[in-house]
Amino acid sequence: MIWYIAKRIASMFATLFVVVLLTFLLMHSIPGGPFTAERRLPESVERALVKKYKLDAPLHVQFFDYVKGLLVFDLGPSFKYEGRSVNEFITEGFPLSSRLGLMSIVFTLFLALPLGSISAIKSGKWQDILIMFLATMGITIPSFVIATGLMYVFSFRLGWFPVFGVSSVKGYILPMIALSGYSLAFITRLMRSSLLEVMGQDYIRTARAKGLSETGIVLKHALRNALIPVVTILGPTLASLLTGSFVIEKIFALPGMGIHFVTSIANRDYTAIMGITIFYATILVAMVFIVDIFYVMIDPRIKLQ
Amino acid sequence: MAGLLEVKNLTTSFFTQNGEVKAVRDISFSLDQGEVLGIVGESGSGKSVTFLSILGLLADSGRVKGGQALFNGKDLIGAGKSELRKIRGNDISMIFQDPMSSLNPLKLIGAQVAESLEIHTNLGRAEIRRKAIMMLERVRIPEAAKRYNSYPHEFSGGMRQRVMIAMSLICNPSLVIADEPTTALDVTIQDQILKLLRELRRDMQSAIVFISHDLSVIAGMCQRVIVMYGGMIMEEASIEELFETPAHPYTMGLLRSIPVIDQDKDSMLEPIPGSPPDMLAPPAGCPFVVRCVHARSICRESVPPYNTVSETHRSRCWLWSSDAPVSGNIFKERGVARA
Amino acid sequence: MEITAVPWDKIDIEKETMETIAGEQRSFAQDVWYRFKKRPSAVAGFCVVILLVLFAVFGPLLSRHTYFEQNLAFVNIPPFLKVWKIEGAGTPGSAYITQNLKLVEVSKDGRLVAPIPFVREDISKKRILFDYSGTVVAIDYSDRAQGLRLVGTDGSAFLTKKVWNGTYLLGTDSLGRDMLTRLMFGARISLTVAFIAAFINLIIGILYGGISGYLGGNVDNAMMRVVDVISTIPLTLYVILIMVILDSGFLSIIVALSSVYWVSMARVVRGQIMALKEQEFVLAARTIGTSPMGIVMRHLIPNSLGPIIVTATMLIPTAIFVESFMSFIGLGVSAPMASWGTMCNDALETMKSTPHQLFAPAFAICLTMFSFNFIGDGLRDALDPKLRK
Repeated sequence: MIWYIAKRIASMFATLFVVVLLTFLLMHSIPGGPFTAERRLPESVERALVKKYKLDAPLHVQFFDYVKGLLVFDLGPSFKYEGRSVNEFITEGFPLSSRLGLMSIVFTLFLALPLGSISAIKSGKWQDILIMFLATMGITIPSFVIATGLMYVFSFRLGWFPVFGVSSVKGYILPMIALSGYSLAFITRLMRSSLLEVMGQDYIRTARAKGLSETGIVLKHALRNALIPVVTILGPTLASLLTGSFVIEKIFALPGMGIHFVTSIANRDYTAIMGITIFYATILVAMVFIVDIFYVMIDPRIKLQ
Repeated sequence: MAGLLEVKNLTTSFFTQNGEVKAVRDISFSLDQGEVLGIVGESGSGKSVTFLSILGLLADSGRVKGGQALFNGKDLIGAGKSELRKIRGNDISMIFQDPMSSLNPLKLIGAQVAESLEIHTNLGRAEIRRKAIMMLERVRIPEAAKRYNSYPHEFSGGMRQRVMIAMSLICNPSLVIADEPTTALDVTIQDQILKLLRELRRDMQSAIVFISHDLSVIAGMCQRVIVMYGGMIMEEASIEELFETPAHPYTMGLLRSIPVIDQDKDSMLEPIPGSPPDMLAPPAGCPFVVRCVHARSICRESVPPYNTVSETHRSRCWLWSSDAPVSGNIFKERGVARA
Repeated sequence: MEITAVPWDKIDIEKETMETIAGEQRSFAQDVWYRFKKRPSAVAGFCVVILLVLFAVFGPLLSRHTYFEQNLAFVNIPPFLKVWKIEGAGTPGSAYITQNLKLVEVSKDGRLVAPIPFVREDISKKRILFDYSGTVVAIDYSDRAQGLRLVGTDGSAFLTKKVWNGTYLLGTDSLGRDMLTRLMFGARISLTVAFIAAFINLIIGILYGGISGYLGGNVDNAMMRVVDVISTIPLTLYVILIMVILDSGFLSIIVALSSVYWVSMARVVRGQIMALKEQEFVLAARTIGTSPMGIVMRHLIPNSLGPIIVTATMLIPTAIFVESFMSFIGLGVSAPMASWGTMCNDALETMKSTPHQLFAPAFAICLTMFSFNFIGDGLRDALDPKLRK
């Protein structure tokens, strides 16, 4: 187990290194970008940049410098806002984004697992058809459409929820639902097909032949087995919740990390784009790692070499 | 003899996209307490479906269309779900074909063996565990107490089938249905499992239904044999009668396709020509008619009745009918010759 | 079957009757089409996509407007107009009060005729006066509760009625451009981006996955490692980065989409090839000296066509989604071009007052996504009956 974890951590760092290298090279290849000569910037920012990135130094020196910064969690200064660092953007935005993301994943799992199970058990009946119809809508309707729709109906028309901001808990509800939409639908469908598949397995017939009740079969034999594929996609789900938050935060005007990212894009704040991308990647890789470890723990068949 | 199970006119179909698959058609037979009955037939002949119907274990698309299955005088076909559950695993248990997929991969071996006891008895945890370990020992699992805490993937195929057997016997059922228990195993393992089953049969009082497509396996296990084809019983006989005086062309074909060790080099194994009937639209008459070298025109038109050959021997072949002509009739000519 | 007089006649069993496998015979394509047709949702999706393509190709040709033509006199006009019937004037007519407090004459069938000339604003009475063919009418904004009213000289309000906008069927946007025509152009952009991106991804995916799967071993390991690394972080992030570098625009979005979304296709193709290449017919092809390229193109790819087609179909809605997503966060096609995502984005701020500007493109996106997903689901079931649940 320890050997496995060590190996996974090593590959995690390798992946991150590649991501950092790629982002760095991409940002360097921008004509008129942050690391080229033709810029029209305030003197002070210019100086800060030259100083920070040793822009007169060769490329590989700059890169190692950047990586050195990353190792002490320093993402460098903003390219657009004088005296601001990318770290500040993240510390400002991340608490709200992570709170929203966490609420969404809890909301998703609490709804998707029971809904998917009901759908599978009632396969072909009206419950299944209804749930699958909703799930198809959730998968096909883009999150920004869901968000604007929710906002129009519940904030403008009905006035149940605040339009902007998160001054109260109420403010989180619509963004959370809008953000969860896709994952909720996806996990519901996955849970359904996974449970259906498990229920068709020979060992379920064995359990039936033992005289176990249908409820007992689902609870004792099917559910845990059906959860395995769901666990494997939890990592990517967290990813989609995080990236989905760009638009959600924009629509609901929430001061999270996503909105910083989107404004950085609009402002062409290259260092911020680069820093936030790397930050996202780190979180995602870490999440996938945690999920993988969890996965190994719940499935005894996985052999660790 | 006290009848344990009596099946009358059982008919089961599967309803698929392409139509109704008539898997079991009008089957009747009976089984006594402690008896070992073999069911033989090729895949798709309705062997397993017959018993899955009786136990209410059919897939969702399957439905019993008619008939009765009296177990100790009580009809299982009409029985409620909870009544049936009390019988399953307790009075009637099943050993399935593929031990690789028939065990839950995420549950401990011991827990799976003990589960039937948890369902059907009120014994305490420790007692259940003790009994499960004892049962594992009885099916010759080495270090049973330690292996109790293993997962199925840590076991070989033969070991898993032993676990399946332990699972089916733990509640002391009066009937065990072994559905091709050795088909998925290597030949040497097959032998070990058959040996184990024979030993267990001696010690236990259970009746056994042994389903197989392999007549030679059945020969070593059973007292009586039912031959199935196309969802129907073709022939029913004691094991000696079946091998010595097979009374159905299909059985004769089956016997000719079994390899015998001391066989002449010249005599070849004879496969039965043709392929099994399409159960979506089975022939109006005898299901074997299109492959039968002795077929008569009546065989095409109507289903043959059960014809008595001897007290313990019946055959569903028109040639045994009292109206059937003697000349050119392999069965009657044989009888004449012997007389 | 004829009833024979003598039932005990021997019958000759013919080999043919024994060997025939009963059941209707269909070719693979017929079989797929047969199963596809059985799903109403898939057929509906297919029809909607065809209509959408027609809408995108021929719609703009039939429209009286263009996607860039601005008419600042008619901005933010909704598809449904609340018109005021002006009476007592020389010629009776109707008028619509725009959001920026202008008055527009509306014909009987709901066409916007012309702005009615502004006279002056009477601040004390909170009225804006207009000259409607010699008669003075006024927009009265004194009463908040009642909202805007059109009143005559005597101060009494005219009657109102709702008519369908005859000039701009789906209304106009904030620059007075016709929503319907922009929607059609948006369909052109969105569908073109989707089809081209899906096609390029298909090609790259087949080549990459095919080579990786066919060669196997270390090459496969290395190539799949690259795919793993790429797919560790969400593909949208790459697309954003590439869009930032290339600057927004029609071509950049295609390039950005094509540069990463092939990974799923590559995985599918590789998986198929790996499974197929061990099979006997490939061995047979190899023993008769077929070239590796021939084996891949003539044996492996055709046999893995089912999953490839399904993955490609699913790439289209993904591309539409990503394109609208990018447009929505400001990285889409540049103005005055319109894609559904940019239209949504433009409408977001004025969602409360002009919801029609948001609903039309949002509905178009949903409809397209639905259709392609249904087609994909239908194809998957039709191509691979084993997956049926």
